[in-house]
Amino acid sequence: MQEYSVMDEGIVPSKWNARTRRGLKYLLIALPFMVLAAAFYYVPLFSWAYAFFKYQLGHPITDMPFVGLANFRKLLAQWQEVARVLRNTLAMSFLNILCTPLPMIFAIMLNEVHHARYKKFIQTATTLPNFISWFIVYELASAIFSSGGLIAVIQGRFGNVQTGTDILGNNDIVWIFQLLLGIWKGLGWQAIIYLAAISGIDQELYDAARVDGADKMRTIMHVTVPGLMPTFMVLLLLQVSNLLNNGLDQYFVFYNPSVADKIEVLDYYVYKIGILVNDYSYSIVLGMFKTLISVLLLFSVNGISKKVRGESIV
Amino acid sequence: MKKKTISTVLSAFLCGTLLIGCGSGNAAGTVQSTDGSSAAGIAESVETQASASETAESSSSGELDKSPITLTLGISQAEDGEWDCAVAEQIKEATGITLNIVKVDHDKMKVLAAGGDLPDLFWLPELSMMDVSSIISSGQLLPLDDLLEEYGQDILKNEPTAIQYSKKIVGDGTTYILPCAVKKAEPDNPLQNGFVGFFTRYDYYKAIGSPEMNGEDEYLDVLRQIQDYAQSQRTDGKKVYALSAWTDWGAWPYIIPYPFSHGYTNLNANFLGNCETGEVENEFLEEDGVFWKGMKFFNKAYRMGLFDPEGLTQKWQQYCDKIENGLVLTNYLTRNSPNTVLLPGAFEILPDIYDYDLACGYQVNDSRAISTNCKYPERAMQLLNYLETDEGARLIFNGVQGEDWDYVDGVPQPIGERLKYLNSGDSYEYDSKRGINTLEYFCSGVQQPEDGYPVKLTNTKNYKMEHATPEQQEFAADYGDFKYPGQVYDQWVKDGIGKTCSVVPVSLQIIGPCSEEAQQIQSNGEQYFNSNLSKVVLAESDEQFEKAKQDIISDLKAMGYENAANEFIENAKVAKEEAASFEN
Repeated sequence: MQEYSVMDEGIVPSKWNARTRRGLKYLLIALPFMVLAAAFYYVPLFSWAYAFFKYQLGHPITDMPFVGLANFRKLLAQWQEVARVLRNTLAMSFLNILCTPLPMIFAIMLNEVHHARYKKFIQTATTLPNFISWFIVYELASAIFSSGGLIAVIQGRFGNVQTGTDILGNNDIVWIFQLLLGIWKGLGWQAIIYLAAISGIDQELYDAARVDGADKMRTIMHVTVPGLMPTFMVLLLLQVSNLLNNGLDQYFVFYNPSVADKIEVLDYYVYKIGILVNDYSYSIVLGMFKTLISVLLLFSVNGISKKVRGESIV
Repeated sequence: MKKKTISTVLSAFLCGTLLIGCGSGNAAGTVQSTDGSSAAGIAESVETQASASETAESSSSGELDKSPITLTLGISQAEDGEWDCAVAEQIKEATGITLNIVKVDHDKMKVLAAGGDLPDLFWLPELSMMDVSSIISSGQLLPLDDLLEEYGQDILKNEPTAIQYSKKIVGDGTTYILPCAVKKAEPDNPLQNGFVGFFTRYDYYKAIGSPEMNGEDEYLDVLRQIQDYAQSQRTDGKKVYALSAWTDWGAWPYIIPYPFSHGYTNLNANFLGNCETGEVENEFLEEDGVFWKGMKFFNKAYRMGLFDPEGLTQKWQQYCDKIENGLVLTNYLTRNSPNTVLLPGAFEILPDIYDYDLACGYQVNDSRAISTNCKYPERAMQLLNYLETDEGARLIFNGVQGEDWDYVDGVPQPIGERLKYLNSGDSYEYDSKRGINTLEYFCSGVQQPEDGYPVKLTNTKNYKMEHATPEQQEFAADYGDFKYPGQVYDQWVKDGIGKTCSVVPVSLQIIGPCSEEAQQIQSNGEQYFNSNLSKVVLAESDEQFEKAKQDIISDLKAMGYENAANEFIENAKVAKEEAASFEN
């Protein structure tokens, strides 16, 4: 028999009340994060207004001269420089996208290791670099590759003059070098989500594959990989939508005049224009430009995904 | 039920922490800036309000008020919170002012200005003229003219030209900032070992027979010999270079040592000024100018195998480590370099071997100001003026009399623990703990105390003689009956072996600001050059060098840099015409 309770406007099922209470509880739990997301992702959007003003340090926006689209015209006037920065950004992002399968492959390989201690050691050793700041990574790279570093010491052991390598200042390989550093730093961490996904694959599928005579490689190819594909696709989509978000830290610490031509990505360029050149309003235009392209990319890839796979994430 | 309660409490807690986190930063700062307890914060606030009214009463009489108050002080060389050190105690005793530090740097100062949260008084860490002008026009800096007149007589006496510059050029008729590092020429008291230039390892120079040189090409040849010799002396196989650089100070290694060794000084807006003629020249556009000659010098050095390619990737600290470990043999700054000296005949000019006339100091850079947030402007000015007196300046640079320095047989000199640290060659940590030199930019630096000795007691002749390193003493003895390198350089100038620059013309120091648009183009140009300088320094041939140079110049012109530079040149012409009215 269904229970009823008396409410102000009549008789409603008590089940509805329970649902409301549960909803309220979830809302409360989610609320802080919604506020945080609003505070850090949406409130800053108000700063876009500065793109239409001539920024003056210390003045309220109402006191700043309105310049209309002048800062946007600057983007066109300096298109050559912006194109160079975009080239660097896209090159590094595409290289990163090409390497998207690596964490998945690594997770599959790690999953096949049966020696528990060895497996944990590898997982810990590969996850730890994710928590090292880029500044420390720079110091490590310097300690390995500079003229006073590890490679130079090895050169010395073979009786050569210790010159080290010029890898930190080599403009020709800067994209690859930065990519490898990024892989070293993030591989273990990115593999965690795939390890979780692997543990979620139905064990009966593996049993069935074994009964059908599948060897390890076939099991991986026909059970594990298909089981990981939804996760892979979601991460790929997110990465594509972040195509222009290379971040600042890595490129800030590894920036030097020898590699400046190829290491300046959009995030670094925004920092340079805003902080070093003092042109805040134009740096905001660059930021807006970046956001616009990112949103367009996200919806394009989402649309493609919907057409090809019948699924979308947005 | 229990689960529900826990989750509800948890979510409420999360909401609560978020709200607290979003609370007023000022409120939190106030509590922290006292002694960490809210009660203390409230007590101080009450005390502050009470003192404010007392100050208002006493200030009208113009007397030095010593009632206890707290001021926030924006500097970079101390940590946030109440400044707790011997120098701070002495200041408190002398002025009644407790200083609460707000640690600032270039970027944080801009953030504070943008939010209207400037400390009571502060320095402007390398802020551009454009930023300072903006802060002034936003009304956040206090006009100082009346305060200077009533409470700042020592400041007015010590830096009249700098104040005039501040009033006419920066503040458009009102004084808002007080320039620091004003200098007066002291040709009778040469510095211990100069300041900037090409300081080269003397032991290796002597080991190769101290060859005579005449000009920079021969200097490069001598550097090659020195480098070969130094490399042959190493048993660890590490590569030695005669010259190097670093990247985290922008183009400093290329803007300072070479142009200074040719009688130039660096100005704003990527310009150099000739100290003899007072003419200005743009670093990048003047194709035959001293800057490009310097770049050619470094390129030559690179092609001779003398320039460390890591000079274009490494940071300042790595450069210092190489200098210390003998892997780089020439330093551009004397500090951290006890065994390098200026070699005879390398360059015509021996830069900065004495303190020189710098009437406007560092101009806007690193200047002092009081914000309109300050509740006790009179007391803030009294403090600034105290630091400008002989007593205050001695305190800033030497610590507390009787503890860190004192008169011994009538001669003021470092004593006790500080002397021990100075003798050990590394007094930095001790000085920081005591607060010595922390406020170096809070006085002009031109005081000439009645006892006849320099304000900074490490600048006395006796101190320099007693604290020259063995290598410096050897160099001094090899070139005459001298005790430290500065005396040798002084003699070279007197003998006509070298020249020096002892005055930076006022006309070069009072050049007015360019328009904001021009300043942004100039900054953009500087960043562009910094990003491309390796193409010039590491060019493999004359043709490649010339091409890289021309590419840079044409790209700069394409971004409108020429017009921005011309604006500065016009301002420099005006400054030259008006300079006479600034001379005192």
